[in-house]
Amino acid sequence: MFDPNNIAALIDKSKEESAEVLKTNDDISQDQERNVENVGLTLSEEDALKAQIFGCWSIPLGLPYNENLLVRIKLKLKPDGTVSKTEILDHARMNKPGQGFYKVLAESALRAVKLCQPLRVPTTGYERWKELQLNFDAREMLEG
Amino acid sequence: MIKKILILLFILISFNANALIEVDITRGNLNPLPLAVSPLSIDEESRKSFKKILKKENIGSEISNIVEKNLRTSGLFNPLDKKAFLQAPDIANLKPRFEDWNLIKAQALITGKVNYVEDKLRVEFRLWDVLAAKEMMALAFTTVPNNWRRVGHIISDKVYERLTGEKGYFDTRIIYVSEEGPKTQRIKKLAIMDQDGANNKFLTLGNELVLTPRFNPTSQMVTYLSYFKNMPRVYLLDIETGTQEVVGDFPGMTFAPRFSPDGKKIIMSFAKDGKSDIYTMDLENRIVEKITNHPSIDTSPSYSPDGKYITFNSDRSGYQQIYVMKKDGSDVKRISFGNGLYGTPVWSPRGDLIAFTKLHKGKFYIGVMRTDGSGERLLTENYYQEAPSWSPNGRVLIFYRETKTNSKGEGFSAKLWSIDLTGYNERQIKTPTDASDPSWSSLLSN
Repeated sequence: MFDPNNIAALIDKSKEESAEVLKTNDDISQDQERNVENVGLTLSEEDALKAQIFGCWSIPLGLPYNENLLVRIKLKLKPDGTVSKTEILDHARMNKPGQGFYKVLAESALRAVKLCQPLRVPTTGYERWKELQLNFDAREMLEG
Repeated sequence: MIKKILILLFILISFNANALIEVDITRGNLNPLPLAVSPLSIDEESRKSFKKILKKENIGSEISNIVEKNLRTSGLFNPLDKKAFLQAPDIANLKPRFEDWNLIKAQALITGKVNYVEDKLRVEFRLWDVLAAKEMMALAFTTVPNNWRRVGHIISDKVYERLTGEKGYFDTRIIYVSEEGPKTQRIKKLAIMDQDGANNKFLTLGNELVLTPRFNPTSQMVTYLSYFKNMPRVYLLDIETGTQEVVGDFPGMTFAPRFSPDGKKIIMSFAKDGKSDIYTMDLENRIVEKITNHPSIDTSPSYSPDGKYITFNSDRSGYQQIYVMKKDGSDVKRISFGNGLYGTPVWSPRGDLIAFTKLHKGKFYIGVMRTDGSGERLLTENYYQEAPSWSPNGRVLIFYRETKTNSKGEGFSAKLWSIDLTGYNERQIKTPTDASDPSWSSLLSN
């Protein structure tokens, strides 16, 4: 049974766990603390970002689901979550013959990023997430 | 040693510091894409010229209405209310103010203009990505003014393809059997219309019973059955020229002729001596070849789009089920195993699915399954419905549905319906009479 309170509890729990890790690391040297900051987003941070982009991404429904439908986009972000630069990592595929669907998919992913900004990024640790890579994969949705 | 450890530590720290955070986006929304279809702008002189010829007040608006309706009925787009538009059509076509279109939540914008040039209709249109603030496509067409509806359909196809990655299905026609009169004395005529129900025409007079018209996938040729002296004959009809020919008189009853993907053969079933087998006929040399040879009823054959396989229904297992075999009749495999009876299998033009009619516990279903029989999905359920036919892009199915009569035998009707592969976008296609046995053409223009 779907219970929004439970999800909220899980998110809170995730926050608590990550806070605890940081607390445990308080007495470790400064270099190592910076290292922990660089490992990635916490689960709740990642979930918040995903949930936001899920809502903005209109998946083109005509795509062939037996093809490689992964679009990787590198973002440069400002501290407020607005996007200063986007780069499609497999850009060469955009204009390859027979890959018209990839262009459609990449454009839809770019639209999602633009529509969503400012992105829901953490309020701290800008150095950690000032560059992000989003991997848009439509297979799961299209195979349905 | 210490030096080596320090170097290793440095490398590890640097690696972590530069590691790019990756986030996997595996879900999105399947809501129709919001887009704005701005009326095509038209200068006053052109507007008056077209009004005189076509009896339409503003042909620019009429064409954009067709585009808007097509995109809306596809279920993939949500054309926004024109009342919310902030920019005039002529200005928008020159240079859209993207922030205005962004404000009304449009993600794409269609603009264009219409001109009267040397007795011809010239239509320019542009598709814009509102969020990226850039032009995605710009095309122009010139044709005779009477083709204005087709121009609307072609624009719809171009937009659909650019935004979804697959070809559209709007510049197409549907042939069907028009039915009139009481259920026991139906007058049946061949009829044809645009996919949106416009330009309906009757192709036969109704003197003879007509059945199962099917389009050639490569041309505007149709094959159908008509009765002559109480025997069914297979006919070929060229829609463009109106010429018609009898393919042949065959012994026994003939059912469900259908073209091969290259349009060079017809595949059908003949019933004789209590059994029915599948045959092909080469349209060039009229050689008939027997494909199945089984003491059962094999009917409703349909080729895979590559022409290598044939799907058909047969009662060889005791109940009517769907089978797939190689084009020469070898390697027959049953693919339907669910509860109920399965019939009228039709291979998708994309090659990935087979559409069918299923009868289970007194209800009729239109469904699809993969070509190996897996992934069965029932798209719609009703009292009586059958004969699915694919849109040329394999995204939509058209079929007919009959309603139940009351105790006095009144209230019977047969209507055409369409449904897309999601199973949510079900629509009736309006016809001037009752209608059955629809068949969808390939795209008229590519």
